[in-house]
Amino acid sequence: MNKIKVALAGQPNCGKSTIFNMVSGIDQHIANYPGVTVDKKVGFFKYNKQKIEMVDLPGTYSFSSYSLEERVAKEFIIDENPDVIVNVVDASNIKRNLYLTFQLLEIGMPVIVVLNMMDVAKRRGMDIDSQKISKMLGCPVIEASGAKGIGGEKIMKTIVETANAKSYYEEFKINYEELEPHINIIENTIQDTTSSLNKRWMAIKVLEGDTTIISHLKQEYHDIETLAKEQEDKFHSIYDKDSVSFLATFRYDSADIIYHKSVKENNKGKETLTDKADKIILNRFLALPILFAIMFLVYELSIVYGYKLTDYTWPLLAAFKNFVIDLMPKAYFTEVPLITDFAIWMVNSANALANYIPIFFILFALIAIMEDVGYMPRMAFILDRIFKKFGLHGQSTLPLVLGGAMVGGCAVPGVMATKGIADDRARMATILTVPYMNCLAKVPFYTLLLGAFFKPDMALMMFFISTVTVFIALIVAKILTSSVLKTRETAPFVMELPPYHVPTFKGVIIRAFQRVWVYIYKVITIVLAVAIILFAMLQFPGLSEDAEAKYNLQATKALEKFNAKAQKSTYYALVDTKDEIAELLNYYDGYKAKRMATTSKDGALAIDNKYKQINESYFKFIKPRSDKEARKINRILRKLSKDRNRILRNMKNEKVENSLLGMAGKSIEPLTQYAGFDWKINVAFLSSFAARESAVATLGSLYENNKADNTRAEEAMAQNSGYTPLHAAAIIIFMILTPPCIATMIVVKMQTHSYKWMLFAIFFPVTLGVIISSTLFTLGTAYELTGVEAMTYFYFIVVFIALALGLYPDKTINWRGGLKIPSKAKGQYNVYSKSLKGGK
Amino acid sequence: MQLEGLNLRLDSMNQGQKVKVVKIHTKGKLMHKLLDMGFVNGSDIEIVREAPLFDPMELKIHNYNISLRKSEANLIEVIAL
Amino acid sequence: MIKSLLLSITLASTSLFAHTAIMSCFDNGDGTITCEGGFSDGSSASGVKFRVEQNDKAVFEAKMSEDSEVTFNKPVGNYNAVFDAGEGHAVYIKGSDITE
Repeated sequence: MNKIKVALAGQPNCGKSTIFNMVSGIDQHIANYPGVTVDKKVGFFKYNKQKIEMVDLPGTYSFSSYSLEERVAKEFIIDENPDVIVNVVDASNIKRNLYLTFQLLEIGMPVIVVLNMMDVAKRRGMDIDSQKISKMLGCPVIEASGAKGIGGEKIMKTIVETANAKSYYEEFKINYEELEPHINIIENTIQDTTSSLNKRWMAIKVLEGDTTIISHLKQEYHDIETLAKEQEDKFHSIYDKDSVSFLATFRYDSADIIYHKSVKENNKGKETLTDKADKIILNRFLALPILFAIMFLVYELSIVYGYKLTDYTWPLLAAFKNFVIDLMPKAYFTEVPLITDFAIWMVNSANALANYIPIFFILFALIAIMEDVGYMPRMAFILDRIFKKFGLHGQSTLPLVLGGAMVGGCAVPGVMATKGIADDRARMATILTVPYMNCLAKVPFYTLLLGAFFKPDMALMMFFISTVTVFIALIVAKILTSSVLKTRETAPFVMELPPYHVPTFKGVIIRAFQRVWVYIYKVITIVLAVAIILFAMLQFPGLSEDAEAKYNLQATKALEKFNAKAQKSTYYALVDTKDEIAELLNYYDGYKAKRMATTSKDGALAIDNKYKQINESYFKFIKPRSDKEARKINRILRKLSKDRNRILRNMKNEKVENSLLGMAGKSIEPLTQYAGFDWKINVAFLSSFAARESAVATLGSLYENNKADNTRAEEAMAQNSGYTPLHAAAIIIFMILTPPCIATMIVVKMQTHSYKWMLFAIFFPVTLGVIISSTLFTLGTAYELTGVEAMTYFYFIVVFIALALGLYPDKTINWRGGLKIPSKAKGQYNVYSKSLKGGK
Repeated sequence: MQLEGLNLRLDSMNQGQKVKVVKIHTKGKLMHKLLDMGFVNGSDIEIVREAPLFDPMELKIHNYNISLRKSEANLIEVIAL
Repeated sequence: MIKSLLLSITLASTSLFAHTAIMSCFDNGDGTITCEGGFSDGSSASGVKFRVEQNDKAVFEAKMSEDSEVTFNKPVGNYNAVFDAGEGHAVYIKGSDITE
């Protein structure tokens, strides 16, 4: 038995995905249609031992060729010749949905109509006679409710039956009256085509000017295009209408007839729950406050609860780290094998990134809920006017929110979410401005600097940082759309506001998982790849011979100190060789690391027992209890550990200073000094480009050494560096303006399909960042401003510019296409074009 | 229709009003989009509301709700019902 | 007042710390306890505030050393060891859970 190929088609918001999930279960694959960034979802399932492959076509309102989705869907049907088309129809919106149904029926392949969301229709008081519809359309009509899991079995059964009864299929035909002669002429012309597609369908499509079908036929019939135009003109001259409008009107009228014959509305004119809800949610005065409240709630829940979740996930990550370290060759006092160093670096990077997963999971789940409920189109509806002013689009909302519009997000899923924006210019502008949003990973970096330099004003500074990004994004969007993106195609903003739905748990979880998975395999893999390079750049060329000698001397001294004191203990024999000491130190470190990773008392006991078994005498040195002799060893052991760690830190810092990255940092100092950055800051920024997380670690460790105990990285930085809060403000602003990480840049390339834009997305923000932070620093120094003052000025200037741009009257036409109103008098045309102002 | 071009346009309608589509004064992408969404001659439209910031407009047509920018609504000629 | 309003608007400084605070404690058996602190992303905890609480009062205060640890005399009775890295970032360990 051959596999049955099914194409699943339907308009947006008809619940197609829920039907898809219900029928195909978990066995789904997501790929791309060749050459385009449109998702291709394929599901596999069996019914009655019959294998079925179902492709979920992109949701389309129509089957013309004016949008990418429609072209993709049509090309799929032409190229892959499915056995059955399943058309999911929103039962509470039959009229408009039938517009697509007719077009699908005209293709000439067997169609099954699934009336989805029957429960909603019933609730709205609609009585639908699906048998009647089936008779009028000449195809099976199945009632279903994807959300409630009803109808799946029937759908599968009908698919198999229809596929097997193909030969008995009766062609569907709408009589287009006045247009018929023209259709016939074209149909006759293409009578001998080798194409297996339905001739009448193709003739109609040709008359409509459908580019896909025309190019499909052009090889055989070179002048098919002129023929089409000819017929179109003829029709127009007789009836003063164009065929496209005519067909659309006819189809809607036919849909109307079917609707009135088969649907009884008991609650006509009554307000639905959605209407009632929208009265509040879209209320002139309540809409924006409600919007902000919801955003606030989303972030609060995801960040606070996500963070609480990390208390449970962290031990897993720590256990993984310990596991990896155990596999690596052990250190020999101050000599740490390169591979161990490398492994630790990689695991730290991976864990830092993985620690965000709980937060992102909750965030993405909440956003999926908003999408499923139907709030996203409302957000776009409310915000479109503002976005439009800056060259963006109401649909830019989701990407910007994912990217971190308030305090945290990730630019990677944000940029990927720009897929759905129909307006090319706005889509590009969104892609290039999402990176300005608040990347969660930048936050520890801000914390470090704020803690060091702005302790008393921390809340204020954080408020500035998190809110200034939206204004900056708007300004940049405006600049881009008025210059580099000026010539891009724009699109009308025609968007459905679907009824509110209760989201399905399954749907939300699947979507959240998909987005988290994107984060994992895109961000983590790319960042780790770059981390490898970074490691090399921070290691080599390594310490000079003199430096090595210096540290070896320090190491020897520490050992001698230990030795001298150890002799006083009766256990001396156990620790009188360097080998033994090295082993003991590793044992001690291993024990401490494992204890850090456990949170329970039982876990701690288990570790104790394990270590006791490994080496009982060593364990005594760690836990001497009442053994006085062991206590002596314990004390000097701890001191030795401290000494050793200090030596290692110093070695690392000197290595960094001499490394490739260090030299790079030093070389750009002449440029960055205007922003107040020295080579250490440069190195931190350069290394953080791979992943923001490493900025904190690198910067922290660069300042950690020198000072005596008890200073935090922040304080050490404040004291050590000779920086002022003004420096810090410049650094923070630079951080805000530069793109989050390489993973983001790679996703930018994917969405824009060009390296050119990716490079632009890197160099434009960096240049802007350097200019602005340098300006801020130089001016700030000249006017002797404090860090907070400088930041405040910056903030208000940005807000001012954004408001100015926003309130400046728009003189541009929104899209191409002037107006022509032909007068009834033949041969006379009144050309009446109007320059359109945005809004009133 | 004698007074073409002087009929009312959709963007000048107020909340709660009901109108009928007379003609769409545009071509190309926008026209196709509007036709697909049901703005064919003779269709009934109800103006549900304006957005909180006065643009776009929410309309009810063929039993569903749709958002349209005023600059686009301006291209749809209508008569009041 | 404004400060706390701003703080709550920016979702409290919980968002400031996108890394988890951790700590483990050991009873050295000689009447002293050693606690070692850290963060999930490897950042050092040196200089972070630490205290021992009994009956909700701090009976011992210090800062984490260069090696991110603190040693103190074991108090009599119930106590909590607190690693205080700021709002939302405090790790509490009960004295009774600290094993020898």
